[in-house]
Amino acid sequence: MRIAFAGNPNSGKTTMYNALTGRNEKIGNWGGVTVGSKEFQLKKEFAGDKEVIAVDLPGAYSMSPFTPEEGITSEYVRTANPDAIVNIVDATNLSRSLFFTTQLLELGIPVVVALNKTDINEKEGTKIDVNKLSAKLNCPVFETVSTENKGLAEMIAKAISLAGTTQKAPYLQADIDLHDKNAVDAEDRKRYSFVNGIVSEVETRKTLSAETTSADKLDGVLTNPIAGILIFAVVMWGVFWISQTWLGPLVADWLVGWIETFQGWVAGQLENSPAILSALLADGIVGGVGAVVGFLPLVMVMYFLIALLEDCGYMARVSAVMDPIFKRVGLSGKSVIPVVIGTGCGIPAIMACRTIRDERERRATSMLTTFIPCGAKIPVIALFAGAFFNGAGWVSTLSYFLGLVLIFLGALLIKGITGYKYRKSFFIMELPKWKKPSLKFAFKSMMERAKAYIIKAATIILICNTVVQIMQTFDWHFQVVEEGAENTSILASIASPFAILLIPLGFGVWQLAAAAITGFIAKENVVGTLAVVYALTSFIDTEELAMTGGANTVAATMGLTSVTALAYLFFNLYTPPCFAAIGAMNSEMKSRGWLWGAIGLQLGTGYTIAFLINQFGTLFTEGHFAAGFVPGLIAEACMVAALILIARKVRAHFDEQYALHKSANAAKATA
Amino acid sequence: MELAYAMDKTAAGTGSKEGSYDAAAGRMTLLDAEPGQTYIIREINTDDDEMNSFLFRLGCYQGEPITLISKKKQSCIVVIKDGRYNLDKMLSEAIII
Amino acid sequence: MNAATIIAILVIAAILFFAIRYIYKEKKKGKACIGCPYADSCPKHRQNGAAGCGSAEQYKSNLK
Repeated sequence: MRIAFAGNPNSGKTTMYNALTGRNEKIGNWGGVTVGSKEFQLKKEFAGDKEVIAVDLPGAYSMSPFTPEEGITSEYVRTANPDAIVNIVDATNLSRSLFFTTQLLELGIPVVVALNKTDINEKEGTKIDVNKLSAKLNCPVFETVSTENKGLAEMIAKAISLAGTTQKAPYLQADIDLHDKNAVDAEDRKRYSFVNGIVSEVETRKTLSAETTSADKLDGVLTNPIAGILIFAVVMWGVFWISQTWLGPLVADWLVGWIETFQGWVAGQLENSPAILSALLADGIVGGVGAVVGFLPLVMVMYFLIALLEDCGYMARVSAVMDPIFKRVGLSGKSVIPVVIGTGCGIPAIMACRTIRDERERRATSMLTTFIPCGAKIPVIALFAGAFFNGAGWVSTLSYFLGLVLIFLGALLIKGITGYKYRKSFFIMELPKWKKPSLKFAFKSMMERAKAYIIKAATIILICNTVVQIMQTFDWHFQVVEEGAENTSILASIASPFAILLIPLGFGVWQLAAAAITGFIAKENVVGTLAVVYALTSFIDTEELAMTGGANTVAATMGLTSVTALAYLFFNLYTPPCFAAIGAMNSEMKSRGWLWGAIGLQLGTGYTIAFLINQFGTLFTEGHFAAGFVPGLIAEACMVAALILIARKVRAHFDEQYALHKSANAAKATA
Repeated sequence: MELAYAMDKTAAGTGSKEGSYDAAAGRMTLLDAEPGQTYIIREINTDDDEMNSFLFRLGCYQGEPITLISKKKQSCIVVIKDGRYNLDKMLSEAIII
Repeated sequence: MNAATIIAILVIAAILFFAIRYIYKEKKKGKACIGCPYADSCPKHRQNGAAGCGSAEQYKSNLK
């Protein structure tokens, strides 16, 4: 038996779904968190002996979709024939929600209305006459608070018992020609007046929603173009400071100590065994994975804080304050949501681009959003911040805001290349009510992500480290590489050609090139591979120092100055993310051209940033350009040339297409 | 005067009809509105059918009340039905009250 | 060959075996991104559900 969960955006569908299935799906206090459907079995305590599958759907305002993710919902309830529908209604906004409810009631599938967020209504003194509403709608109505599990059991039991029956609609759309726009409009208007009629009868409000409250004053400040952005910067800085300078390293220190002891113990046990075994197990597996796991506390604290931010409703305000800036570069405020989600992981961020309506904006956003450092990049940032910059919190904040700047610049570039045609781009964003973030939820989501992080470290990262270790130990004749002849190893000979390309960037050694390459599989690999290629023991020893500050040994081992270290860090941050993210981009963009454009743009950006930092940083600190300035300049010139060529081609094509558009529109007009 | 007219309509609780407004009386968009006041929407003019119908589904359509909460250069915050929304400048201009 | 060596070889073999098996299983289930920190809350992480990734475009084209 399938029960579909449908309702307006941000009415709390996923929270209810989580409560009923015991899952831990992503929730947030803004519309458009869920962009795909999900299904899972109901918990036994709710379903009894029956096998009941709950289907969580993206939020929708009506059956006629506006954005792609709304389309998923209407398509599902129309064609997938769920046995019952639970319509989650935001009790604080009854008048809007019931429009969709009446449409759902027409489908003939039994509907149970869950009047959610009734706790807020109680606080505000709004009363809804449930019995009357139930009678008017011709379907059962339950008051629920899904964050507190209130009323859920009764509601879902009713839905299960109704499954298979037929719903009688309280309001039936007249038989009209659905192609006649005016008739549809008039019909929708009638539906709304029907809804308004119900609302006026069942709802009594103490506080009028149109009154200005203290929350509105806060919103006024947060959406102020200058103050709002400053506050956002401070908030993000706070998140990074707590997770990477204060609380995170505190725990990490302790964890790293244990890992180190364990590694020493393993190495001790293998004293009399062949060196290769010790290297593989102690350095490759324990050391490499340990280096990545050592950063887990930092990542966990960050996820916890981000979850709190998402839960309280601040993100919608950020989106609103960023809209004017994003619009100027040809994106929209909706692009902010992917950017914010991207702080956790690039893949859901790319998928969140679905909420963007315009195709060009959508593709451009999914191509740029991964410039924001994701959770997997945190270990890399933390390692470099610790080893080269005394564990300074500003490194992550700088990486974050440089990522934002790159998104703007990238968007401008895309605008230039695609020959942005002026189109009215409207922005409307619901500002949800502020809410006290749930610590329990934040903790749960943190643990879930920590688990995933460990699994990743123990599988993908582990295998990559082992392979790197083996490739480093043997040469092409499968002979163990002699000490002092490391350059003959398989790894060195593969990575060296790439290293040459990196000379203008200041880190043209094969070890660093190898780490950057493995980073494309998963960004944490950069840390793991560095641990493996730079004789790990010394690395881990100083890693603890790195956490507490003053880790000059790491810096000395890698042979990087602070300038080249920053260049290398940024190179890793802004080149293409992992393969998984590229795969996600591919499935969202649906265009080879855009995909390759995205990969090219990201490679070019990473290269250019690293080049500029290295050359000008060296000029600034040492008074001369770094090695390979001219070759680097040539490489940059090639990139610019390629850009111009692409732009020309695209524009020529665009003109053609635009002409077609015109004729198509004309045809539509005459039809 | 325009404002008083709109307020009258609110009090009466009726929607304005298509032909009832006079272009000569001046068109007032959300941008010209006073924060804290409630107005009746006279027309939505986004030149974009999909956008119009999206706004409709939010409860933002001709004859419905809309309250301006705050106003900035590039955006404004309004109350439609019982929800708060942030609108950009272009959209506020398209809502005629 | 001493005992420690043999144990080490067995441990390495076991670790790699389980790691590769896990990845293989996940791939077979159709999950593209193993160990993504967003884990199950990411729509991409699901097997070919009714409206998994990619279907948005399809629905959109239906609308046009």
